[in-house]
Amino acid sequence: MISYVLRRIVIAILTTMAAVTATFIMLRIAPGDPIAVLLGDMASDAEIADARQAYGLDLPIWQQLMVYLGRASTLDFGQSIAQGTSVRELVLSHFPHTLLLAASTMLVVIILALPIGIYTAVRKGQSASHATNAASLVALSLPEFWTGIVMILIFSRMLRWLPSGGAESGWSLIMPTITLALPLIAVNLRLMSTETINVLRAPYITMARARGLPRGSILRRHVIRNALIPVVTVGGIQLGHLLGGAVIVETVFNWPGVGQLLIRSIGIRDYPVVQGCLILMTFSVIVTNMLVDFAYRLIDPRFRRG
Amino acid sequence: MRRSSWKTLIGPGVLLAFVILAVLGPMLIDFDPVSVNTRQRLLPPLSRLPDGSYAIFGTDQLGRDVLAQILVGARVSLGIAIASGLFAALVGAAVGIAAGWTGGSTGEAIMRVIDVQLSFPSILIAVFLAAFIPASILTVIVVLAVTRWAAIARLARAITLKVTSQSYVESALVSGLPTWRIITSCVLPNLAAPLLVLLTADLSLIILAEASLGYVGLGTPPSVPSWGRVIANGRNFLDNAWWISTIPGVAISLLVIAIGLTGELLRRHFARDGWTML
Repeated sequence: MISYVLRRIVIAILTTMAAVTATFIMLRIAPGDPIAVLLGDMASDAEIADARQAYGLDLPIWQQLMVYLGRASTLDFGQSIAQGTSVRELVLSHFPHTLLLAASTMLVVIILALPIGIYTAVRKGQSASHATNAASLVALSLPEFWTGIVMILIFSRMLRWLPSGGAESGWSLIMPTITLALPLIAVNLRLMSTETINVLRAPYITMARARGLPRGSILRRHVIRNALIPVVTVGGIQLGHLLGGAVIVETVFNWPGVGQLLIRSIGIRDYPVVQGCLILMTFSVIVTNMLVDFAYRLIDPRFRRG
Repeated sequence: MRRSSWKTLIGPGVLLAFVILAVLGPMLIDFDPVSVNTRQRLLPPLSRLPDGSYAIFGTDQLGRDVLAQILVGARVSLGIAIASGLFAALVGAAVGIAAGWTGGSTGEAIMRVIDVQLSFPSILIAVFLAAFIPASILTVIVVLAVTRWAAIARLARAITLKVTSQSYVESALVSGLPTWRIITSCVLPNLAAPLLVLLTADLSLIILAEASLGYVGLGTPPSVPSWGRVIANGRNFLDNAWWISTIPGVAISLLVIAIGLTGELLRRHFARDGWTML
């Protein structure tokens, strides 16, 4: 296990470096001088010269990359053009909101998807399972930002129950959470249902039934625990995707997370912030995926001995 | 098709209707979707326009007909989705077949890159690329193709590995058939059905991603009306013009549901013929 953990950590570091290098390359592919792109139109010649030196643009390209990697490792991308504050502080101050939204979404998904998934598996072929299948197809087909807008229209404009955006109170968390949770509930519900059906067919369940164990106990101790293993893996990956991919929903609800900061910064060409956001988001995806791999090995007994 | 009832044809039917509307719609409606007409601003659906015609889905804050924008948007969105899906399929299949055919460490290395890419949310990858490249239709096509090629390559490699372990490929190799002939006559026919099913699912994802990019202003340039852009535009007028944002969203959802149903139909059809998705 320890050698596996170490190997995974090395892979995570290499992946992060690859992602940072990709940002470095994109900055150079972007039309125009990278410093002019970074500093915007308002920069003076002196500022440009300073930045050129700070980024080591007088050095050979591979040394430039080394300088860039070093700076990226501490999220040091200088100052935000628009706000004048340090990029690191700006990006890190938005991160807790992204984290909160991801956590609340996963919580809602777990609370709803797992019981419904088990229920439809037990009632396989009945109208309840057909209805959930149809509902999941629809939930997966609605564009997230549109679901968000329709909810704003109904719950904040017409009924005036919930705030349409921002993060002033706990109420603001409700609509972004539901918007993000909807498609994930559809995915996890189906997965939980298929896994439960598979486990129910396993010989050890027949065995448990033959031994005369009570139905509820079979379901709790044997079926659900085994069916949960793949769901936990998928759920972990989804958590990573929420940390790195809630960009659209954060924008719709003006939720002050990293994704919303990213989109706003792209819009005003605040490239130092854009880089900070991208690198923090890729890093959190990489770390989450790594932790999911560890968790998977811990909960699946087949991996523990090997 | 076994027990082909009319219900199974709803998906493909709606999809076909969308394609026809996308191709013919902009020609049927004599309306410039980007022209500004301040005399007919923010009219609700079914209003009568000053020129005597009806705005079935209303008009936006610049007096542009929402239906016309949806029709032009259908052409843009479907066009981009098909182009980018085909592009991804071409690159993905080529890389996947090459990785599966040559095997060894190069193939393994390519798979590692693909696994890394697949571990990231595709919208993050799309935003990552679109953030630095100036917006154009071509950019959107390429960016969306980049987000989808990896899964296709993985499928193509898996199929290639499965096919090349079959004895008929070995005998073809022994008989001296050139590699490209074995690929076109043994690998591609086996790849076609699963690729078509995967590509259908990808088409839905691309349409949703294109709309999302358009919504946050990273999609097609402002002069090209896309669904995501129209919805974003209506976001500021939710109080007095609910129809600008909601109606195009219904169009996207209907199209994606129709593609989903069609994909499911294809999958079942091929599964009956003994094809299985890997």
